[in-house]
Amino acid sequence: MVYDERKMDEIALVQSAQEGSVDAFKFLFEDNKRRILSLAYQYTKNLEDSEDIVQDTFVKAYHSLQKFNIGADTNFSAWLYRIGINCSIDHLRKNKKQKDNIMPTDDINGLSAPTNTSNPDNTHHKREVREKLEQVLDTLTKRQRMIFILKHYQELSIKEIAEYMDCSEGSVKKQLFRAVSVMRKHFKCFLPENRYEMQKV
Amino acid sequence: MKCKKCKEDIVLLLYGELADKDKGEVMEHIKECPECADEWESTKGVFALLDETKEESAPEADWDRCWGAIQTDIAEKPKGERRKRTERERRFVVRPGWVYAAASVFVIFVLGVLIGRFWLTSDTQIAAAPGIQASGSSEYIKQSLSEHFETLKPLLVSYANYSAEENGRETITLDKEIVRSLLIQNYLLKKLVLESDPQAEEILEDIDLILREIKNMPSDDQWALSQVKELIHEREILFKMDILKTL
Repeated sequence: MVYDERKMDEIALVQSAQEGSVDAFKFLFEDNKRRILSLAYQYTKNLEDSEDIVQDTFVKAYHSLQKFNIGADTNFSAWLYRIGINCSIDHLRKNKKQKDNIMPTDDINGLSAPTNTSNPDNTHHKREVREKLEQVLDTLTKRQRMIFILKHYQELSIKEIAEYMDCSEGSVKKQLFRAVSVMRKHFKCFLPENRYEMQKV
Repeated sequence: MKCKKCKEDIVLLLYGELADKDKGEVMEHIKECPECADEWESTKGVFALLDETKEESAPEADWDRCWGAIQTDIAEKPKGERRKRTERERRFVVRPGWVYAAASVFVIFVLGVLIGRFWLTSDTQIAAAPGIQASGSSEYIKQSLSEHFETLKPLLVSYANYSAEENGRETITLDKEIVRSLLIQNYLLKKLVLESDPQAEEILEDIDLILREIKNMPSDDQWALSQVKELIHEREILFKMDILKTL
């Protein structure tokens, strides 16, 4: 079967993949791999883990392809993204390395105190923020962490997150508020006093 | 608008998830409340800091290797075939005797609470002997706490001493109903000690958190097990329980 490159629409590719075409599945992989990698990388902050998550996601998707109902389910990308979210959470849960990296909250406060806040554009400052972010993310629960990543970095709406995470919008808001509270607590020391003036929204 | 609601809405506002009407209310409240104004400023500042890390996209993966691994996996296992768990993967299920002991103690405790509530501490008795009631109530709480701690201790010790290296792939598997019972017992005690004993209230809060973690964790989750272990050590639960029992 010859595929008209990327012009072939998603539904046709999914149908072919459901019939057993690995080639069709490869096109679906090519179309969606970066989005899953981006999610996994923001969630784990580790390329090797992210590659594992991408593999797990597509393997799981392939084995569950028959469950994907083309008529009823919204679209393949959203369905795959949901698998990617679950794989990311599972990966972090199983990853023993992650366990070793976890630090008590007190250590976080001490370890990454900002050394230079006068020039926030410099690379050193950015690295400090990034390192601190990784540490603070480790103190969140796996769901809080995912909800925060989906909202802040993947820029999904609360409604979309609730659908992906299979929970209510209220629950997403609650978890998001908690995550932001933790971020605020740990990042407050990075903020120069009176640096930000009140602005009209 | 209450400060709690305002603080929650600040986050939604900054994420563009707040309706215009609510936005106005938040901004009005911020103008009048210094605490919420501070929350607004710091949240905005933290968002600006976090946004600095937004531009960093994921590095390019080794896609050929990635697809190769996927292809190998899907070629090895036909669609829909589930991998059977190996003998090594099967978890050893521990069902210690204290699980049943805990259940028995819980039943006795609930019966005690019900009997005490409906037969022994009627309003007329309280009116007749307020002094006796007060001291009796305090003794009763102390005894109930002591019994509760005794029930919990073996469970918490198991988690506190859990070592993935020593226990290999064994995990502590609990009947979720037992943990639920302990949670209810803990909740009832929290209600009893409410405000009268801040120390006991604090430790019951910590126990509540730990029991919830245990209840929600999957049975084979080593990472979650270590989290519970850390919590018990970090909050010095066993030590505090011993201290409270001696008071």
